[in-house]
Amino acid sequence: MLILLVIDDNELIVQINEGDTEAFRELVEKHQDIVVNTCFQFIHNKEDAEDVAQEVFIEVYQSIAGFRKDAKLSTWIYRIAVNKSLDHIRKKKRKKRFAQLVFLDSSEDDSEVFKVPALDNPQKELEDSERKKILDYAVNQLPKNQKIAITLSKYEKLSNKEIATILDTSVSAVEALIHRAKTNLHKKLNRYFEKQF
Amino acid sequence: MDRQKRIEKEINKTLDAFDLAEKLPHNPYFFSRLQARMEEKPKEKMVFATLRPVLLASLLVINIITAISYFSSTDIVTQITSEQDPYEIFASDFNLNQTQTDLFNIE
Repeated sequence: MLILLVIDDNELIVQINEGDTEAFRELVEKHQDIVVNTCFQFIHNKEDAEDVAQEVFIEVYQSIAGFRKDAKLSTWIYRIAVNKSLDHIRKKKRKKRFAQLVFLDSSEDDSEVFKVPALDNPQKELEDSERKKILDYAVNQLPKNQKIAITLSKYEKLSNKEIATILDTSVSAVEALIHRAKTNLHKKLNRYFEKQF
Repeated sequence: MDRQKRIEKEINKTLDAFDLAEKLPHNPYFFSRLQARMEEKPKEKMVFATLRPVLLASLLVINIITAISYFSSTDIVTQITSEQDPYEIFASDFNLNQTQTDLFNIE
Protein backbone atom coordinates (compact mmCIF):
# COMPACT_ATOMS: atom_id res chain seq x y z
CA MET A 1 0.00 0.00 0.00
CA LEU A 2 2.73 2.40 1.05
CA ILE A 3 4.88 1.47 -1.96
CA LEU A 4 1.96 2.17 -4.28
CA LEU A 5 1.48 5.56 -2.63
CA VAL A 6 5.15 6.44 -3.19
CA ILE A 7 4.94 5.54 -6.90
CA ASP A 8 1.76 7.56 -7.34
CA ASP A 9 3.26 10.51 -5.50
CA ASN A 10 6.32 10.50 -7.74
CA GLU A 11 4.12 10.56 -10.83
CA LEU A 12 2.10 13.38 -9.33
CA ILE A 13 5.25 15.39 -8.60
CA VAL A 14 6.33 15.14 -12.23
CA GLN A 15 2.88 16.22 -13.44
CA ILE A 16 2.67 19.12 -10.94
CA ASN A 17 6.10 20.32 -12.06
CA GLU A 18 4.75 20.34 -15.61
CA GLY A 19 1.97 22.68 -14.42
CA ASP A 20 -0.85 20.13 -14.22
CA THR A 21 -3.51 21.58 -11.87
CA GLU A 22 -5.46 18.32 -11.81
CA ALA A 23 -2.39 16.51 -10.49
CA PHE A 24 -2.11 19.10 -7.71
CA ARG A 25 -5.79 18.62 -6.91
CA GLU A 26 -5.18 14.87 -6.65
CA LEU A 27 -2.20 15.40 -4.35
CA VAL A 28 -4.25 17.71 -2.11
CA GLU A 29 -7.20 15.28 -2.01
CA LYS A 30 -4.86 12.45 -1.10
CA HIS A 31 -3.04 14.23 1.76
CA GLN A 32 -5.69 16.73 2.84
CA ASP A 33 -7.13 14.76 5.78
CA ILE A 34 -3.71 13.84 7.17
CA VAL A 35 -2.46 17.43 6.94
CA VAL A 36 -5.62 19.01 8.38
CA ASN A 37 -5.71 16.52 11.26
CA THR A 38 -2.00 16.89 12.02
CA CYS A 39 -2.42 20.66 12.20
CA PHE A 40 -5.54 20.19 14.32
CA GLN A 41 -3.71 17.99 16.86
CA PHE A 42 -1.24 20.83 17.42
CA ILE A 43 -3.58 23.82 17.13
CA HIS A 44 -6.83 22.39 18.61
CA ASN A 45 -9.00 24.73 16.54
CA LYS A 46 -10.77 23.55 13.39
CA GLU A 47 -10.77 26.84 11.45
CA ASP A 48 -7.14 27.63 12.27
CA ALA A 49 -6.11 24.07 11.41
CA GLU A 50 -7.73 24.32 7.95
CA ASP A 51 -6.14 27.70 7.41
CA VAL A 52 -2.68 26.39 8.31
CA ALA A 53 -3.29 23.27 6.17
CA GLN A 54 -3.93 25.56 3.19
CA GLU A 55 -0.61 27.31 3.87
CA VAL A 56 1.04 23.87 3.94
CA PHE A 57 -0.26 23.04 0.45
CA ILE A 58 0.70 26.46 -0.89
CA GLU A 59 4.25 25.81 0.29
CA VAL A 60 4.13 22.30 -1.17
CA TYR A 61 3.07 23.74 -4.53
CA GLN A 62 5.71 26.48 -4.46
CA SER A 63 8.63 24.29 -3.47
CA ILE A 64 7.78 20.92 -5.01
CA ALA A 65 10.35 21.53 -7.76
CA GLY A 66 13.08 21.38 -5.11
CA PHE A 67 11.71 18.22 -3.49
CA ARG A 68 14.33 15.45 -3.27
CA LYS A 69 12.80 12.23 -4.52
CA ASP A 70 14.90 10.10 -2.16
CA ALA A 71 12.59 11.22 0.67
CA LYS A 72 8.94 10.22 0.97
CA LEU A 73 6.52 12.94 -0.12
CA SER A 74 4.19 12.29 2.83
CA THR A 75 7.09 12.72 5.29
CA TRP A 76 8.06 16.00 3.62
CA ILE A 77 4.46 17.22 3.81
CA TYR A 78 4.23 16.14 7.47
CA ARG A 79 7.38 18.16 8.21
CA ILE A 80 5.91 21.26 6.59
CA ALA A 81 2.63 20.73 8.47
CA VAL A 82 4.40 20.41 11.83
CA ASN A 83 6.57 23.49 11.21
CA LYS A 84 3.62 25.60 10.03
CA SER A 85 1.52 24.52 13.03
CA LEU A 86 4.29 25.41 15.48
CA ASP A 87 4.80 28.76 13.71
CA HIS A 88 1.08 29.42 14.07
CA ILE A 89 1.17 28.62 17.80
CA ARG A 90 4.23 30.87 18.23
CA LYS A 91 2.55 33.78 16.43
CA LYS A 92 -0.60 33.32 18.50
CA LYS A 93 1.41 33.31 21.74
CA ARG A 94 3.25 36.46 20.62
CA LYS A 95 -0.07 38.19 19.89
CA LYS A 96 -1.40 37.10 23.27
CA ARG A 97 1.69 38.47 25.03
CA PHE A 98 1.38 41.74 23.13
CA ALA A 99 -2.27 42.02 24.12
CA GLN A 100 -1.27 41.41 27.72
CA LEU A 101 1.31 44.18 27.46
CA VAL A 102 -1.21 46.55 25.98
CA PHE A 103 -3.70 45.94 28.76
CA LEU A 104 -0.93 45.76 31.38
CA ASP A 105 -2.33 42.47 32.53
CA SER A 106 0.51 40.45 33.94
CA SER A 107 -1.67 38.12 35.92
CA GLU A 108 -1.55 35.37 33.28
CA ASP A 109 1.67 33.44 33.25
CA ASP A 110 2.76 30.60 30.95
CA SER A 111 4.65 28.99 33.79
CA GLU A 112 1.44 28.33 35.66
CA VAL A 113 0.83 24.63 35.58
CA PHE A 114 -2.90 24.44 34.95
CA LYS A 115 -5.75 26.85 34.83
CA VAL A 116 -8.08 24.71 32.76
CA PRO A 117 -10.61 23.43 33.33
CA ALA A 118 -11.98 24.37 36.72
CA LEU A 119 -13.90 21.44 38.07
CA ASP A 120 -17.03 22.07 40.07
CA ASN A 121 -16.57 18.87 41.97
CA PRO A 122 -13.11 17.32 41.97
CA GLN A 123 -14.52 14.16 43.50
CA LYS A 124 -16.73 13.32 40.56
CA GLU A 125 -15.54 11.45 37.54
CA LEU A 126 -14.02 13.63 34.90
CA GLU A 127 -15.78 13.81 31.59
CA ASP A 128 -13.85 12.63 28.55
CA SER A 129 -13.81 16.07 26.96
CA GLU A 130 -12.45 17.60 30.14
CA ARG A 131 -9.74 14.98 30.32
CA LYS A 132 -8.86 15.68 26.72
CA LYS A 133 -8.58 19.42 27.49
CA ILE A 134 -6.30 18.74 30.46
CA LEU A 135 -4.14 16.42 28.37
CA ASP A 136 -3.92 18.87 25.44
CA TYR A 137 -2.94 21.65 27.80
CA ALA A 138 -0.23 19.48 29.37
CA VAL A 139 1.09 18.44 25.94
CA ASN A 140 1.25 22.11 24.91
CA GLN A 141 3.50 22.85 27.88
CA LEU A 142 6.12 20.31 26.73
CA PRO A 143 9.36 21.38 25.01
CA LYS A 144 9.02 21.65 21.20
CA ASN A 145 10.56 18.34 20.10
CA GLN A 146 8.87 16.35 22.87
CA LYS A 147 5.55 17.87 21.85
CA ILE A 148 6.09 16.96 18.18
CA ALA A 149 7.19 13.41 18.99
CA ILE A 150 4.36 12.61 21.39
CA THR A 151 1.71 14.24 19.15
CA LEU A 152 2.80 12.36 16.03
CA SER A 153 3.17 9.13 17.96
CA LYS A 154 -0.02 9.18 20.02
CA TYR A 155 -2.46 11.11 17.82
CA GLU A 156 -1.19 10.40 14.32
CA LYS A 157 0.00 6.89 15.25
CA LEU A 158 3.23 7.35 13.28
CA SER A 159 6.08 4.93 13.87
CA ASN A 160 9.26 6.10 15.60
CA LYS A 161 11.08 5.68 12.29
CA GLU A 162 8.65 8.03 10.50
CA ILE A 163 8.89 10.57 13.33
CA ALA A 164 12.70 10.33 13.16
CA THR A 165 12.59 11.19 9.43
CA ILE A 166 10.25 14.13 10.05
CA LEU A 167 12.41 15.47 12.89
CA ASP A 168 15.58 14.64 10.96
CA THR A 169 16.97 12.61 13.84
CA SER A 170 17.63 9.00 14.87
CA VAL A 171 15.04 6.46 16.03
CA SER A 172 16.74 6.18 19.43
CA ALA A 173 16.52 9.98 19.83
CA VAL A 174 12.78 9.80 19.10
CA GLU A 175 12.38 7.00 21.67
CA ALA A 176 14.16 9.17 24.23
CA LEU A 177 11.98 12.17 23.33
CA ILE A 178 8.78 10.17 23.75
CA HIS A 179 10.00 8.72 27.05
CA ARG A 180 10.87 12.20 28.37
CA ALA A 181 7.53 13.56 27.13
CA LYS A 182 5.63 10.83 29.02
CA THR A 183 7.64 11.47 32.20
CA ASN A 184 7.01 15.22 31.96
CA LEU A 185 3.32 14.70 31.26
CA HIS A 186 3.06 12.44 34.30
CA LYS A 187 4.74 15.10 36.49
CA LYS A 188 2.49 17.88 35.19
CA LEU A 189 -0.68 15.83 35.62
CA ASN A 190 0.43 14.76 39.08
CA ARG A 191 0.86 18.41 40.09
CA TYR A 192 -2.59 19.20 38.68
CA PHE A 193 -4.43 16.35 40.43
CA GLU A 194 -2.62 17.00 43.71
CA LYS A 195 -4.31 20.39 43.72
CA GLN A 196 -7.67 18.82 42.88
CA PHE A 197 -7.74 16.14 45.60
CA MET B 1 -1.54 6.57 50.27
CA ASP B 2 -5.15 6.28 49.17
CA ARG B 3 -4.97 9.83 47.83
CA GLN B 4 -1.84 9.05 45.78
CA LYS B 5 -3.56 5.97 44.35
CA ARG B 6 -6.51 8.08 43.28
CA ILE B 7 -4.17 10.61 41.70
CA GLU B 8 -2.36 7.84 39.79
CA LYS B 9 -5.72 6.50 38.60
CA GLU B 10 -6.74 9.93 37.33
CA ILE B 11 -3.36 10.45 35.60
CA ASN B 12 -3.68 7.11 33.79
CA LYS B 13 -7.25 7.88 32.75
CA THR B 14 -6.14 11.28 31.45
CA LEU B 15 -3.24 9.74 29.50
CA ASP B 16 -5.74 7.30 27.98
CA ALA B 17 -7.45 10.37 26.47
CA PHE B 18 -4.80 10.19 23.72
CA ASP B 19 -7.09 7.55 22.22
CA LEU B 20 -10.02 9.99 22.26
CA ALA B 21 -8.37 12.21 19.66
CA GLU B 22 -11.03 13.94 17.58
CA LYS B 23 -10.62 13.46 13.83
CA LEU B 24 -11.88 16.23 11.59
CA PRO B 25 -14.19 15.07 8.80
CA HIS B 26 -13.16 15.43 5.15
CA ASN B 27 -13.96 18.92 3.89
CA PRO B 28 -15.14 18.71 0.24
CA TYR B 29 -14.60 22.46 -0.26
CA PHE B 30 -10.99 22.41 0.91
CA PHE B 31 -9.40 22.39 -2.55
CA SER B 32 -11.67 25.11 -3.98
CA ARG B 33 -10.87 27.34 -0.98
CA LEU B 34 -7.18 26.59 -1.41
CA GLN B 35 -7.37 27.41 -5.11
CA ALA B 36 -9.13 30.73 -4.37
CA ARG B 37 -6.44 31.59 -1.83
CA MET B 38 -3.65 30.73 -4.25
CA GLU B 39 -5.20 32.99 -6.90
CA GLU B 40 -5.48 35.81 -4.35
CA LYS B 41 -1.86 35.57 -3.25
CA PRO B 42 -0.15 36.61 -6.50
CA LYS B 43 -2.42 39.71 -6.69
CA GLU B 44 -1.36 40.71 -3.17
CA LYS B 45 2.25 40.08 -4.11
CA MET B 46 1.87 42.23 -7.23
CA VAL B 47 0.56 45.15 -5.16
CA PHE B 48 3.44 44.81 -2.70
CA ALA B 49 5.94 44.41 -5.54
CA THR B 50 4.81 47.68 -7.15
CA LEU B 51 4.46 49.56 -3.89
CA ARG B 52 7.83 48.53 -2.49
CA PRO B 53 10.05 50.50 -4.95
CA VAL B 54 7.79 53.56 -4.59
CA LEU B 55 8.05 53.35 -0.82
CA LEU B 56 11.83 52.88 -0.95
CA ALA B 57 12.27 55.80 -3.36
CA SER B 58 10.18 58.12 -1.19
CA LEU B 59 12.13 57.08 1.92
CA LEU B 60 15.38 57.81 0.08
CA VAL B 61 14.15 61.28 -1.01
CA ILE B 62 13.03 62.09 2.56
CA ASN B 63 16.43 61.00 3.87
CA ILE B 64 18.30 63.15 1.33
CA ILE B 65 16.15 66.22 2.08
CA THR B 66 16.62 65.72 5.83
CA ALA B 67 20.38 65.30 5.42
CA ILE B 68 20.68 68.43 3.23
CA SER B 69 18.63 70.57 5.60
CA TYR B 70 20.53 69.24 8.61
CA PHE B 71 23.99 69.92 7.18
CA SER B 72 23.04 73.36 5.87
CA SER B 73 21.72 74.36 9.32
CA THR B 74 24.89 73.10 11.08
CA ASP B 75 26.94 75.17 8.62
CA ILE B 76 25.09 78.31 9.80
CA VAL B 77 25.65 77.38 13.44
CA THR B 78 29.36 76.83 12.92
CA GLN B 79 29.55 80.11 11.01
CA ILE B 80 27.85 82.01 13.85
CA THR B 81 29.88 80.34 16.57
CA SER B 82 33.11 81.09 14.79
CA GLU B 83 32.19 84.76 14.57
CA GLN B 84 30.50 85.24 17.96
CA ASP B 85 31.45 84.48 21.50
CA PRO B 86 29.48 81.42 22.73
CA TYR B 87 28.59 83.24 26.00
CA GLU B 88 27.04 86.00 23.96
CA ILE B 89 24.98 83.57 21.92
CA PHE B 90 23.76 81.88 25.09
CA ALA B 91 22.94 85.20 26.74
CA SER B 92 21.08 86.49 23.71
CA ASP B 93 19.08 83.26 23.43
CA PHE B 94 17.77 83.75 26.97
CA ASN B 95 17.61 87.56 26.85
CA LEU B 96 20.28 87.72 29.52
CA ASN B 97 22.12 90.54 27.85
CA GLN B 98 19.22 92.89 28.73
CA THR B 99 18.93 94.78 31.99
CA GLN B 100 16.06 94.23 34.44
CA THR B 101 14.51 97.55 33.43
CA ASP B 102 14.59 96.47 29.80
CA LEU B 103 12.75 93.32 30.68
CA PHE B 104 9.86 95.21 32.29
CA ASN B 105 9.94 97.92 29.63
CA ILE B 106 10.28 100.67 32.21
CA GLU B 107 11.60 103.77 30.63
